Amino acid sequence: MVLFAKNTDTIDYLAIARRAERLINHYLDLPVTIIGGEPSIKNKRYNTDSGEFEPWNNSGRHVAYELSPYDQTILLDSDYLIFDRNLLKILDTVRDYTIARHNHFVGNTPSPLMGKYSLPTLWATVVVFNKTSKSQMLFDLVARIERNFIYYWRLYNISALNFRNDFAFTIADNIINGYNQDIRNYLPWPIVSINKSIQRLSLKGQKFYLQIDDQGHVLPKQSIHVMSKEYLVSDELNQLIEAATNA
Amino acid sequence: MPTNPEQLVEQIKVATNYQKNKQALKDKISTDLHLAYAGGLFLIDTNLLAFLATWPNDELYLEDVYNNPIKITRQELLDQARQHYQSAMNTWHIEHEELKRIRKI
Repeated sequence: MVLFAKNTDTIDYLAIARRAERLINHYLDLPVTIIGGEPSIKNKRYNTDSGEFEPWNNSGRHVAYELSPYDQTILLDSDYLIFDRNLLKILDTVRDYTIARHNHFVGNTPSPLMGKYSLPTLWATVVVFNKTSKSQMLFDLVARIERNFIYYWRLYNISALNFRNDFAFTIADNIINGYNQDIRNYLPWPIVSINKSIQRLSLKGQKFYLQIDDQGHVLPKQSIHVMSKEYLVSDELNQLIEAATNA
Repeated sequence: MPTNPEQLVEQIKVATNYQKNKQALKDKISTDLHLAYAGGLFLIDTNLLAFLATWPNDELYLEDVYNNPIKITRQELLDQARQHYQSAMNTWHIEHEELKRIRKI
């Protein structure tokens, strides 16, 4: 497993990655490598908790191919929390690489496209790859797109104004497959994302009890992409991890 | 039936959330129903189980979810698929009953 954690002035991503690592150890029992380092570009992200933009060090994801010490790698965002064993099925079946394509949001559902007249977004939150020439080409392309993002941003009619790895992987996958989509490169099930500020998230048996805004949700216990960084560094998450790993 | 608009909105919210929770559970079970076998990935459903139970040959090529033909041993996959299906469907039933109970609280 490879996780990226590049701290900013406001968020300790390394601490978040350490928490994600505990869950990976428990559910997948796979070795974890955390990659840090300095960002090559300055970027900003929308903070779901404060509603403001803040610094974001998300560049350099392409080095995962080179720096991963494993023949087979599961590359995750450090805010993707593992609560089941389903990704092991992908390790057994991946040819070159697999990227998450469908994303079910609890909260606001954003457009599935990169822009009004653009491609459906792939989610670099979860990328599984073998060290093959096709995978290497994918990561080389991601690096090229990151270096020349303004050009690709215009070419692909991307709406958002910041660089996102999701966009770079979407474009790279599109190019590598002859400007087309190949379902063999996509995760066959959706990932689940919570893209709002979390008031409460607790685990009882096989269910998550989630409170966002004035709404309560009951979700089955499963891996979740938590975008609220405030929650990811909170004591509540520590308690949730304790409950999950001691169950 | 509530006549107060606020009560009505609240009841609709509860009903909407129940449907969302039900769908989230269905999606999770559908994910769990995937089975990795012989380098392929199969979504276990009643069609696949019926096919495997009735096909006359022991070895054959079967299309997986990635559109790849995978060489399978019929009885071996059938045994694994049955076990996998039963486990996932039992979980679905238990969790679904629990969801219905929560709705009434």
